[in-house]
Amino acid sequence: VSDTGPVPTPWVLDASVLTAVARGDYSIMSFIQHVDAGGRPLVIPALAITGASLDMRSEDAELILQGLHRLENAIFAPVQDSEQAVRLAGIVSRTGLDAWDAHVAAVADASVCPILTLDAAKWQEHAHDLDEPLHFIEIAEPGDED
Amino acid sequence: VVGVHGGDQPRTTTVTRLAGSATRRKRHYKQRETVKYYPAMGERNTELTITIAPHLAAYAQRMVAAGTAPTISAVINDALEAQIRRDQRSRALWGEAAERADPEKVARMLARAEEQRSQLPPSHR
Repeated sequence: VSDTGPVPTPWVLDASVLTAVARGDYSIMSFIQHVDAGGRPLVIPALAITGASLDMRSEDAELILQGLHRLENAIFAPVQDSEQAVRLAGIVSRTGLDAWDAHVAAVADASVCPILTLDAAKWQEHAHDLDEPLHFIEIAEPGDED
Repeated sequence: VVGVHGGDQPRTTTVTRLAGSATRRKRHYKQRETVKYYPAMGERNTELTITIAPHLAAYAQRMVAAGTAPTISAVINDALEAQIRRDQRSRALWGEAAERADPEKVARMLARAEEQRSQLPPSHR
């Protein structure tokens, strides 16, 4: 018998969120920690980490991104095999998204989960690029700058 | 110092000591304490049998051969110490965020996310 409730639907972190994390944005990092502590799984596509790491090259950024592994409910989503790699290439080709955003889209599509983002405009533009619509949650506050 | 095992399994390398100067082959996973002194810790070293990838063993051997490390044990010790420092720094960076974030802003973000979540199709809530 378990006293825990059902596991909430995971949220897929995109590169904009991970870039903010890599930059050491306290609010975003704290937000992530709160969501994690609340028991909601956070799916982190491997290529989204790549995109964030490319945007912010420093040792601290690297250490912050590596620290994502300590989140209790983080789920890392790799590109597991050649089939997934080829499917990813198809999404890049079809959407024109960068590979890391395409990986986020692929993971969100396959797992039927919303994307957590700071860039709603991007996902609004690509929401209907795949067979099923992509859904997203924007956490940027009005007036926040990238 | 180092033994390489091949066969059908992935090639791995056994290093028979983690710390100390002399090395002796032992059965895998056997752990015992030695009387060797490790200056950095001021306490007895723990003797372990570990298995590492051949290229890492080769790298450690090259460091010893080049004189940049006294022993393979020292290479492993230094690597673990470096990993501990990195891990501590990473924890500190995340801890700093938790302490210094604007709680009101974070609360607004959580509320905003929850509001949007509630408006998603049931399949995505």
